[in-house]
Amino acid sequence: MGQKNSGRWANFPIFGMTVFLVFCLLFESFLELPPLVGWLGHWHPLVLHFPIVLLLLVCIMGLLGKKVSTLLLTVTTLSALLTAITGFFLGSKALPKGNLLLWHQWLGAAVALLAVIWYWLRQNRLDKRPFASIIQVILIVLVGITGHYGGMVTHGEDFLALPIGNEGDKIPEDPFIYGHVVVPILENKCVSCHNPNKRKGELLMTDLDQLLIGGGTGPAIVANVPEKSLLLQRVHLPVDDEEHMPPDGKEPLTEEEIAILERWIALGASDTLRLTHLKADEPLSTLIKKQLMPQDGNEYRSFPKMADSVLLRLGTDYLTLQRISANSNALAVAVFLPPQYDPSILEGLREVALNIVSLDLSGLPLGPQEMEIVSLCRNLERLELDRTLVNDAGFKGLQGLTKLKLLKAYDTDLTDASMAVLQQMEGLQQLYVWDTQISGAALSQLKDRLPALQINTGIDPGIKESFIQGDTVSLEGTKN
Amino acid sequence: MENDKNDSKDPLKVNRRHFFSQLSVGIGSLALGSLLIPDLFKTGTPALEGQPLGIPHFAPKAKRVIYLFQSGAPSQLESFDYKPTLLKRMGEDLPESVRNGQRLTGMTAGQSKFPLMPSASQFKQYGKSGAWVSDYFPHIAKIADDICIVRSMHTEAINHDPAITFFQTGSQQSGRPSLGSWMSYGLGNENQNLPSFVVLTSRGQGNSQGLYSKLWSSGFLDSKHQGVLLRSGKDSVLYLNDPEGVSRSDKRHLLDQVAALNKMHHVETGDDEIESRIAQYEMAYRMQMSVPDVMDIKKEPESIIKLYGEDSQVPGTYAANCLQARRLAENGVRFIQLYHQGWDQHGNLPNEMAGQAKDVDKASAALVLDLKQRGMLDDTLVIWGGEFGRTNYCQGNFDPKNYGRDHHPRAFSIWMAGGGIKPGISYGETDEFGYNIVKDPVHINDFHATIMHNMGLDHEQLTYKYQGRRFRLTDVAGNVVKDILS
Amino acid sequence: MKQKLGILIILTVLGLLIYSFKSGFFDRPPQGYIEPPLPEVVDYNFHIKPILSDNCYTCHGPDANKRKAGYRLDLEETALLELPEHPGTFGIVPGNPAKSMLYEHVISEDPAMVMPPKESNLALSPYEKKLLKKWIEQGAVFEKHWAFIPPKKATVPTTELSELQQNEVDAFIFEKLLEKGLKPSPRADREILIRRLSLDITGLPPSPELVSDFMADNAGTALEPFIDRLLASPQYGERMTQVWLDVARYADSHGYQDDSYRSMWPWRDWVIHAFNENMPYDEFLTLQLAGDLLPDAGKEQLLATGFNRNHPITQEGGVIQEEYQSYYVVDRANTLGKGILGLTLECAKCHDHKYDPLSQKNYFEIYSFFNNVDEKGLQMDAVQAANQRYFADAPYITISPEESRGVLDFVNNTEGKKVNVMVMNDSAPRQTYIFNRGAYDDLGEKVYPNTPSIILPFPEEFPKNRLGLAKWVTHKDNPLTARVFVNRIWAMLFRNGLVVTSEDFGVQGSLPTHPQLLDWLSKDFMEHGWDIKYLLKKIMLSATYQQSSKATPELLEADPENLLLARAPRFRMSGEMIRDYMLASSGLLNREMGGPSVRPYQPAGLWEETNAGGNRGVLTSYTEDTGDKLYRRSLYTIWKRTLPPPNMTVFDAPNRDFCEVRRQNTNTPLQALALQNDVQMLEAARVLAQRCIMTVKDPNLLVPHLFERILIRSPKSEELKVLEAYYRDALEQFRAKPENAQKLIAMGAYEDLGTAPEKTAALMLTAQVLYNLDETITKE
Repeated sequence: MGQKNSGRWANFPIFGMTVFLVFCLLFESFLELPPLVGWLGHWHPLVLHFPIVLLLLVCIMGLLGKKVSTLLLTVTTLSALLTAITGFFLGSKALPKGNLLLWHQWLGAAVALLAVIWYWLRQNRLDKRPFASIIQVILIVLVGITGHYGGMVTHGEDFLALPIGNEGDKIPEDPFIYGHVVVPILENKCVSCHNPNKRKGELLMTDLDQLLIGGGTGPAIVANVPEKSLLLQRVHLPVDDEEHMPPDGKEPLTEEEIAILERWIALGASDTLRLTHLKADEPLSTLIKKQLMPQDGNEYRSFPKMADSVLLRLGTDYLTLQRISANSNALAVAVFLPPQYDPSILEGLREVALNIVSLDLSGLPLGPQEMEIVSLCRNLERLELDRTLVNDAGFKGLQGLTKLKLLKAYDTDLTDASMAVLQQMEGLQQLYVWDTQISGAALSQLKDRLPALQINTGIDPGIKESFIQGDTVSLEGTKN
Repeated sequence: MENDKNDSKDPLKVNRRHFFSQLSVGIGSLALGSLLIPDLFKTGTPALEGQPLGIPHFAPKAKRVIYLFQSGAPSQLESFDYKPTLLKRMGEDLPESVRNGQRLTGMTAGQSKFPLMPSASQFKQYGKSGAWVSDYFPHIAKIADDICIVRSMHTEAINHDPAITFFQTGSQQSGRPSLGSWMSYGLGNENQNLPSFVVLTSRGQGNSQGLYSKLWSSGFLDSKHQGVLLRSGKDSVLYLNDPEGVSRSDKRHLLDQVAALNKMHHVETGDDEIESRIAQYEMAYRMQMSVPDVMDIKKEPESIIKLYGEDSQVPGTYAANCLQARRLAENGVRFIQLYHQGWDQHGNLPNEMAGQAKDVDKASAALVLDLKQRGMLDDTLVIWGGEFGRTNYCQGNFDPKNYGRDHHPRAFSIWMAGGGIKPGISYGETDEFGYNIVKDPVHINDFHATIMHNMGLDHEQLTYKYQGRRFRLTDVAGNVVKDILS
Repeated sequence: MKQKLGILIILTVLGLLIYSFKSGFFDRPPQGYIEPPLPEVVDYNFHIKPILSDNCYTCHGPDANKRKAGYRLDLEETALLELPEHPGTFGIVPGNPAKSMLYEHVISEDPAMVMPPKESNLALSPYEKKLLKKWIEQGAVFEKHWAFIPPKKATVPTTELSELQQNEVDAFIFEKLLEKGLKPSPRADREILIRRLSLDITGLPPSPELVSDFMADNAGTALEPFIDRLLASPQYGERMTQVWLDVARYADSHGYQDDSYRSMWPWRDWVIHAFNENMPYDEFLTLQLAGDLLPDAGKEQLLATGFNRNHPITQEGGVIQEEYQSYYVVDRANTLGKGILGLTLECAKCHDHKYDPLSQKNYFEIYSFFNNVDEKGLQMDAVQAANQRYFADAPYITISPEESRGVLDFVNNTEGKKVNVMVMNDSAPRQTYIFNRGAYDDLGEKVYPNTPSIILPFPEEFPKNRLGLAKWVTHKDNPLTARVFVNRIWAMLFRNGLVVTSEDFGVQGSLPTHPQLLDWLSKDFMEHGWDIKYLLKKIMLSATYQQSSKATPELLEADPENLLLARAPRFRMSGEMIRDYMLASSGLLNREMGGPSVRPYQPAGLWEETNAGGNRGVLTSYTEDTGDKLYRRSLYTIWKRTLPPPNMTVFDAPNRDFCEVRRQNTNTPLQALALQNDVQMLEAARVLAQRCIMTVKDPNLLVPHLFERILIRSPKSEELKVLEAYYRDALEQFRAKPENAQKLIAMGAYEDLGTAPEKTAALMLTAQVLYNLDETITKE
């Protein structure tokens, strides 16, 4: 009895919505949707979850031979239609529709309509095993794909791509020259045209054999003879030349990339060659080592995120915070001496202590309170304490700054007592300590401990002397 | 005009804050957002045109520039471009094949002969790099391994005004923003209490040419990016000093009244421009304290004074300005432009050159050494050079003791140090006559592109839309000179 | 059981929905995500062209050399053609976006295909894409650029605000306001109004008499007599000239290297005269462009042509004459373009204009009009020039003291010596060639005087010389001249022109906010014989102009830039006006008109530090004038191009190296310093203080009087409280330290009026407070 009712009351809306959906899809380009409709569209992201759950539910029930209640199927179908329609509304606001969106739209519609068909079959008692099962299987698949496209639309194409996908651009310690270095270059700069779909100039650049075979005008690569390799010839042509590759408007190869291709071909264009196989003096190895360097900013990825509003809030007339480059979370901070100095000047920095990689406190009368805050900036790579009142006591607190690469402490009262702290700064590369109490002996000790460290003890005395004494060519007799 | 907001803060920073505040919405509307305006969530170049000013495009090598401009064009042949051939073929006429069609200034166009003239001063090699430097510059010679000598600069202009305007603004005609203004526009202030672009001038004994405020003008950029002329004497910045009889506290008191009344009027009119006016008055008040403080070289120890030379105690000299420049750099000024006039040796070159060199040699070198010992050379780009070169033939009558050289645009030398420039190299080569470039030419546009690159700016992306066109410092040309980057 | 399940599901759905409502899931997305609704009918000029010219013309525009794929998008005929490189496809298929490659590429997600290309750093917003789509659907209609269509008088709209309307101007303004659901602001207070009028017309604060008359006039609303009174005052001419000097790049020095003195000031005097005589704008232009070619050209007509000799002239040794001669002609052409036609002609010097339909040929055809001047070029260097008083390069006229008493009585020749003024002539006819890539020494094809037909074909009957050019410029069908001038007048009064980019009416310039109003005013202006005073009066009598400038939060929200003018603008005065304001309000102003430029206070050593060293002619060192010459209006201050008056440049004055029609309006700390410490400002404060003390007997009225003298309004009680308190403090301070008072009141060369030092100093500082108020330097 419940079934009958549900059957009757649901027929009309389902029929109506189906017609409406089909109409929308067919006459999309002629529709100017009123704002309200647009608003309805906003429901899509919410509504869509029901049909997904319900459809999977009913399909699985069906496949497992369980009896699917008409009411359940009705609700399912309705929700599917509702989702499809709201989805269409939402999409219609996002002109122009990208491919992803189009796929999502049509798949979604397909799901809804398929549900409707099932419902119709059910109403007419036609949903016998074979059809039903087929429909159910297709539905499950469709729901999956549609959902995935929807995801890609909202969260970007590769939101489900496996982590490896992202690791892809990171080159392993001992990379294959071809696989890890050459291929990415070609993929970035060439494959957009020379792929199985486009095959510009009948050339495929997706694998090595194809490169050796080449395209309409001959092999792209001739092993061991770069100058014979069309690929390089084209790349080397002047930019305005018709034949130049990549063509006008496309991003050209960088000198490094060209050099890499050149050397790789010269060395036989092998796909088994590894970095370690190369001789030390082989230019290619240096070129590739360069590529191995971490991309700018990567080392700061782990830093806490930080909105510009924070920077604007913390900055004062005498304290400047700046991202070291656009969109980086690493900060460079410079503090200038205000007329009325107040030790609490650095307090604001506590909040972003871990974002600071460079801190310039030159010339400030630093006391314990400030040094305590400095000691919190554990990611500091560059610290300028020159011409400050910092002393051994205050300096002790800086043990934790293990990432420090550069330290300026000239013209301060530091003594050998601070050596212990410096000894711990493994990564230290540059140290400026002239005009301090630190003894030469202590410094040479430090040098032994940290061979890589450059210690600057001021201008070379010889040169300084010659400057202070000698004057530039005197003008005697030349003035007249 | 876009960007000509008059806020005390950079307009785009504010916009950015605005933008970020909009991201604080649920994932739901984020999804919608990405549907409705994909561009907003696409990262990449289109966003860059609205680059938040005060943030470099990429991590910079240099934070600031000290440009030691030698106005009048010092001769490369008596400084850094050693040409023994000129001695061998002394007095011979410049082969037409070499000159081939180079236009001449009115001053030598009339000359029937172009007798080659060797350098009056000796050259020696210095440093590990074995760079050739003339005896006029013994101190710069001592820092040969810290500097990069570019012997292959070239320009189109053959007269001072267009040439110097070209160097300072990227265009031979006036009206474009100067290099320093572009930096200020692109990177903003580091120290909120000082201008981000300052200018210091000095003059030597030599025949000199005028300077023009257009050289440090901000052109069509907001005039807060204009170079501020720092002058020797008490009013180091125009109108900086309060009148006698008014103490700091009096001034403070006065400004408080101004602020109070302005605030009332702000409520009355609702015009936020008034708020920013109040902010400007505050910054002016702070400048009145910070500028004299920075300019006060009495704070410098004897040894430093001596390093730069006794002149450095005499306000308004080149040496004093160099020392000044270092102090300004320490205090976060972005772009410090020095001009030293007197390098236009159409005659009496040996004597005048010696005099000019005496003015600048020691102080320039001292500046580099001083920056180096302070660990500032790494992030401070020092540039030394003039607006063009000088001819390898003599102007006027032929007298090896007392000759002159005319303007020469095709090849001349400058040097740079620090700030991401490879030290201890000589870049580019001229032919044996020192007339034409035979290797690695560097055009002014390339020079500008390189400076911007080291400051973390992409010269193709730092644009400003004016009169319907996007202007660049490098106009439509310019390549970063990669080979001289460290 | 099943029903339970069904009900359960439905309930959960409802539950979730309600919850999500509460959680604000359906709240409208935040500002910025919302796009304006698409217009009913997409207009080519107002919606599409900006997109195309900004994003596409660089490669698909008028410039043949830079054109990519042989596709040109700025002309209908070419835009609809088959794509040369892709036969069978079309850039635009009217009515069918799907078939239009333009749209295909614009919406493409394939980086290889998308337009504009990635490297261009340009990208279209979805809204722009939709606009393009709709435009194509509606048939992709092209129109001539709006500014090249002669203005027509649209029928004045009638709005339901008609009772507020005072004249046609309001009708157009209100119409737009209502569209945006805004209402105009009420009339400004009378004190503010009279100050506004006086500043706009004379560039000076209203005289106390005028104010009292105005306030006394109880009839209230009748502004007209006062406007007439102001327009009739000679200061009107000075005010208008001040603005014209930027356009005419007037200066008292040659510019370039040595930048020594030139005697062009008689030309400046003529301009003042012309404005005060209310010379019709078309005549005003004709005289300046071609006065020498007029049938009965007299001295005055010749003098007027100095306009085209105001450009910088080099005196640098060893320049190549041809090179610089070409610069001079280029400058004249550019000035015609930017200053009179509102076109960035210079963009067409080196190549066809990237955005506007102006070819390089067009440019050099205009160039050729100015290329026949008998310029001798560099005659002597600055030093010789100084010795021989050679202050005008040929060609020039000599004005004798007699003449300056007779035909040229407007020339204030105080020195009573002969004075030479550079003028134009055509006595050195030259063949003009196109300069390839703009290089003077790389000649291309021959060209002859002509004007771009896209603007207005050059009538056959006109002579092919500057006179013909002038006739063409002032031709009733010339779509630009009147519009550009009217727009600049509007900008003078409202800060922003109806076309914000006053210098560029081309494709890349901004579009008029009120196109119909601009056209109506321009047409009306021409119909009334190019009568400038009429135009000013027309605008000033509108309710729009007379609105209050108060900005309510609603207005700020609705129209932050105030482009719709639901309130009057409020903006800082020019440096000249500010200085004149101080002089006038303190009673220092010397109202003498015209004459050789003067040398008021300037920080010592400025010229000396930057000149070419030693003695390089007349302008090597700056020696301040004495006596009342110090207090002349600012437009008489000597203008040295390489170092213009610093107290003007800090307030955004251009250096006059080339034509400038729109000054920036910035707000910087250097301005704050200048206002506080410029001797002139301090002296004004002092003298005003002394005058007050002398005239006002009742000590309690001192501060109020001071206030009214400066701000032309009576103080509010709280304002008065602040100032009174400050004055008393200051007075005590100085009584405690009289020596400070002595030092302070020593400011300026003007005689000490012998008032009590402490009192003077205290009141002087109080005046300084007032002079440093935002309100004081702002036109409200």
